[in-house]
Amino acid sequence: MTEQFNDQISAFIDDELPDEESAFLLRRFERDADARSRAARYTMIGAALRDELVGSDPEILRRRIAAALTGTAPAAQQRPAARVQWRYFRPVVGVGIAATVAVAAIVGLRAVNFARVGAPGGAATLNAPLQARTPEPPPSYVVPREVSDAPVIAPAVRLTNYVMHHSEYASRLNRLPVHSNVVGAGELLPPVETVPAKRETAGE
Amino acid sequence: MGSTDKRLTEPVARQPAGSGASDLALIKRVQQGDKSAFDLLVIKYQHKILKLIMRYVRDSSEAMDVAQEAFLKAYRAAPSFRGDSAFYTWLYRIAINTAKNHLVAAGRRPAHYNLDTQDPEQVEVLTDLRDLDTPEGLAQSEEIREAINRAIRELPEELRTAILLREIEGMSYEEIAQTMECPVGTVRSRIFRAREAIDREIAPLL
Repeated sequence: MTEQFNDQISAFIDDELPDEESAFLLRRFERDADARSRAARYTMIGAALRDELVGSDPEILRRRIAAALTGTAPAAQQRPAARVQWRYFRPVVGVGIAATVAVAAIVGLRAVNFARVGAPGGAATLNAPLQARTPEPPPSYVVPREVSDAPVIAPAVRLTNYVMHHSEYASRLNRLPVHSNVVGAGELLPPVETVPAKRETAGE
Repeated sequence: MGSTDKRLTEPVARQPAGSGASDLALIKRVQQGDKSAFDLLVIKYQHKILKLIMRYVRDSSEAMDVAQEAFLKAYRAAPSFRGDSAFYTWLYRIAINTAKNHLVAAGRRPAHYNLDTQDPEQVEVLTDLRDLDTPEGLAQSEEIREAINRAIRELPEELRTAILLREIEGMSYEEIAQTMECPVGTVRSRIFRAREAIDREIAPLL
């Protein structure tokens, strides 16, 4: 835009532009978004000096009204995108991290138990190429075919039941109030079969 | 001195200098269906109308909604505007009525307090209304305000005087020319150059 044109915009917003020039400028405003933006910034300067400034976008109200008049959504702002309000995502991220850690802990615990007790087929199965594996019926992961002499990490039954039924990741259908096991209701729950701890039987 | 009458003193519309002919031309184009002409009217008066509405509606985003509604009402009523009063006066009344209706619809009474802006304490009340904006918006508004003030301070004296007489005092070019004892064309040029200098400071912030 030329300096002369900008000078006309400046005079126009002060209503000091002669009628002939105003008519030409109005036609230019219809198709020139930059001209409208410049006019909006010039009026913003005056608003700031008079302490009338509300918000930092000189065209937000104009865009909303234009959209309402045409029945369309406001065009995307050309300003730099506002920073993401991370404070709204922090709780979600926190829950996600906690859930990931919990799942990893549970999976890891089971993997340790599985590895120490002995997987069906043993290490050969784990090391065999995927293509070479023959389909086998899925083994029970709580009743191993082979029992090793290695010490087993086997949480107590009641503790396991408690975690299964009261943790925040437990199924809502099975979740019980916290006090249920205090009054012995845990005995009524279907026990989770685990490998009997070797230490419990050793020395007997 | 202090009046016991706590009713809201409705602000009186101060018609901006020299705005009659231009606004009339614009509203006539609006009556012929020219939406871009209404765009320009919004650009011209959005800040004044927003600040007016925020005397009734404290929340800035709510005030934005009410201002939008006021302008849309003005657009729909444009065919009935006869030019008996200045366009800004007409728009001003629509904005006040829209704000009051909004408060009534929301079950809130319009605030009743003395808005004598000569009283410094009352000026602070108006300032507090602005502080309800988001922290990011406030920070950006403040940054823009500071940039403008800095640019004003750095202007040559004749440019600074011209733009302040225009924006703060609301004087016409003719009045400024008489005050500064220079031609009207010189006043126009000085105001334009002042705006250009300020615009260079704030454009990167927008």
